[in-house]
Amino acid sequence: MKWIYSLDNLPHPDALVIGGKAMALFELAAAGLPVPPSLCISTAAYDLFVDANHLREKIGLELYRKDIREMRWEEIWDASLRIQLLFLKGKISGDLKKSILEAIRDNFGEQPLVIRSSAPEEDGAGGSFAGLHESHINVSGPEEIIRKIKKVWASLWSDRAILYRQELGLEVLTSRMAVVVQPFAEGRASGLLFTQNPLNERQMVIEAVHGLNQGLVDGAVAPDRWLINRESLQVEAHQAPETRDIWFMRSPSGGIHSGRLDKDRSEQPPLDKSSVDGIVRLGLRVEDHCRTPQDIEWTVVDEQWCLLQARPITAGNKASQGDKRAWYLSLTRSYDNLLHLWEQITQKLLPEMDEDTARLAAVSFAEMGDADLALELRRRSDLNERWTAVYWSDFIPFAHGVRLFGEVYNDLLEPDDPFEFVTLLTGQKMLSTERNDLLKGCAELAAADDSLFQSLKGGVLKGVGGEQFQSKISRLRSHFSIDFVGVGDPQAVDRIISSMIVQYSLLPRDSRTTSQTERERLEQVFLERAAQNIDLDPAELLSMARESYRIRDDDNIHIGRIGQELERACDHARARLHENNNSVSPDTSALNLALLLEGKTVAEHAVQAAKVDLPQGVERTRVRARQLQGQPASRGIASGLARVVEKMSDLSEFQKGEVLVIDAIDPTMTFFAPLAAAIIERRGGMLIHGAIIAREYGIPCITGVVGATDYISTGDRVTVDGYLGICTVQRRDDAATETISE
Amino acid sequence: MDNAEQVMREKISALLSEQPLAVLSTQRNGQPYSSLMAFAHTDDLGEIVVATGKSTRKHQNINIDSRVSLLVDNRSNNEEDFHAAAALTILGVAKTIEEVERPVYERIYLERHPYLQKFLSSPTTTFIKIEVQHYLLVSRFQNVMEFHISDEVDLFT
Repeated sequence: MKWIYSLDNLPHPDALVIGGKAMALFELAAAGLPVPPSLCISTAAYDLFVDANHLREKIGLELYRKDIREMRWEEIWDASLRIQLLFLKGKISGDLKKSILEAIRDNFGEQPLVIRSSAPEEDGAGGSFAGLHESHINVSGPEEIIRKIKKVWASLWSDRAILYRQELGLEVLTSRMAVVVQPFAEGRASGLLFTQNPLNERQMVIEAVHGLNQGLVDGAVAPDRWLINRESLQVEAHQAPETRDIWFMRSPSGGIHSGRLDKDRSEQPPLDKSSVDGIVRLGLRVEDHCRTPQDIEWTVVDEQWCLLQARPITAGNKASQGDKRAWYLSLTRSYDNLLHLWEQITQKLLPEMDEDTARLAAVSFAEMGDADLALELRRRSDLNERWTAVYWSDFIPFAHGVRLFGEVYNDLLEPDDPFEFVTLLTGQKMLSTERNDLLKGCAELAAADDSLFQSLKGGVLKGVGGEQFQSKISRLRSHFSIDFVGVGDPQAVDRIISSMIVQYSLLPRDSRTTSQTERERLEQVFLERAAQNIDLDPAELLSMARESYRIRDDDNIHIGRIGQELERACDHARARLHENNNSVSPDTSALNLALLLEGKTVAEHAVQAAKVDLPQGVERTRVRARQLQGQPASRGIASGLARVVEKMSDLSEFQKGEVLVIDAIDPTMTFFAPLAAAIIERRGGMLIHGAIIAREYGIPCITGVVGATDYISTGDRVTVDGYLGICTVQRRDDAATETISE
Repeated sequence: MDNAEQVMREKISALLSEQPLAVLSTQRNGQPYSSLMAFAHTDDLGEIVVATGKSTRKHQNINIDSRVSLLVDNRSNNEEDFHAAAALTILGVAKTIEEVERPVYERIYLERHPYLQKFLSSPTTTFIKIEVQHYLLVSRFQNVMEFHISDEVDLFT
């Protein structure tokens, strides 16, 4: 099969060979419609590259490590990042490289290029999944051209594509990617044309922006819109955007970037009346040829129309209920959006949240009447809800800063370890590590004061130690949402904190890892390479990524303080209701407590969550795990007895040197991390909280272990391999001990 | 039977039913010895049956030490085996089949391997059942699950 096809190639090759996008271009060109000169690198070239680098099985091992239906989006993103790097680091055969570069030189000379994906699957899915794969604009130089082709191939395995693998029919053995190469022409104006308005079938819609249509496609630039009557072809409405001050243009160093449009141009719409007519006529020709309404991407260069892409209009990808994929994909934010979120979070949201916490903490409930306490509960519950909503709308998307940085880092440096970039983000001052330092300070005081130490061993925290000790404890409680561990059982908090302090006193003096020199070296290499190759300010990008990483962990503690304040009011209400012989449980909600305080009855409060623990030591099954596979999230190898934590109060039993096995951890709970030999978490991802804290303390961590808390029992000896993401389980009743250590 | 056990039994049954051959490992004086064998299994997964010539090394080995291991897998000998293939290690004890129980095992064995009827009925062939103690199923390259048929948990006793 040929590697390269041009538009004049007759007969047209099959869509399986050149992909959907190329197929459409070939057909439009044959019909005499204006498309840019194009070459297509066929799926045979993809096959050659993938097979020569053994990528099929490497992708297979990534995607079939566990049942893909059990992979969270974060895990899919992680797997995709690893796959992207495999393609970038893959070697392209000399013959293929030569053929591609020669064909490009013969057809387009030294002109900068546009390199676009053309997947057969894209076509098969009826065009409903636009934007799954990559395109690169303004690419020059042989090495860069080959790199971008590899990136387009790799984008067959983008996180988006993997999320929609079923609809796309994405399969390791059979899926392929073709590539379209065109000379890059910087349009004066660009946009989209729907020959039939999806919202009104009597109309056509044009959307247009000045310059390149990149900003329009990803939503960064608001377009001018024209609604045109399909019969009379008259403009029915022109909707101008609020401003036209941002546009996308060619970058001198390659690629494109956004900038401010000059005042004169920004006052003018990108199209005048005759241009609108011109596009409408062109659209009708395309529709006539294709026999169905079309979604067309166009640009205008030197007053010549050019069709970049045309595909049938589809109803769109209707999300069924419970389909959260569109939400995951909405978390992929642009750099500008991340900078905005960063400012919003650090300048506005966190200070406001902390002010709210301080205000709530100053309130004393003892003097309040029942009605006032009920009102206070409602206020706190509302506030908690409000901040939880902000957490989802602003904090969670900001975490994408880490991912964006990782993508840029891997593109620039092609490191052996796809997650090397995380090293540049660790070692910061985070609330979780600050809290752990405070616990350490308490432990030092306890080590010097035997009577304090004995009290702590007995689980007593109140009134023990001196003023210094008590002030540390009170800071722990007020600043780090630590009371959360005792939700519904205030006594448990004292027990857990005192037990942790006792355990901390067994630690060596400095338990945080210090790989400062390595971090500085990587940082320097990154900054130098980035300064030469990207348009963004590398130092700003790195700071943004560090903030994103830190806030990802800190935000839970900030919002935990609000939750803790709500809980404090609930505790008080429960105690008061209990005194008045009302039946309340630790699960009675704030709003129901408020109703009860107002003398009303609630149906739900009597229903107590009946959580029955399995009796200890009972053999649950004849099926046991010997070796469970997750993903390596923090390097190292360690062996120890497992401590399976199913509820918060289990943490009070945690002993130094144990391996924590848990479904999911929250930063408000990560105080055990310096004590743990390793962490195993059922929830998957490289950037989840267990992994973040494990890296800070240099302990191995594996995440995404299906059935971790089901198949591992407290007391089993487990060996955690943080290099390969494997944990080996040896039952506590096995006589022999086979352990390995580094 | 809990769900995990049910799932595990189904996976093991499927693999045993689709594969005609297993590698049998025996040992003498600490020297391991592996042989490719036709096998069949009982529905309850408790026993695996094999047949071999009475004068073979493996038969002699079993007479000295009845502890054996079998390996059954579904590899296709392609790259994708690394993520797609499953392998089952079986540990058990080999015993000679008594005349009274022979018809039952013979039916199971010949249902799987009708072409071996002549071989099985030869006086020089010995018919052996392996009482399974443990199954270890390896899948997705590195996942290893154990299913203990016997009450004994330690594999190496």
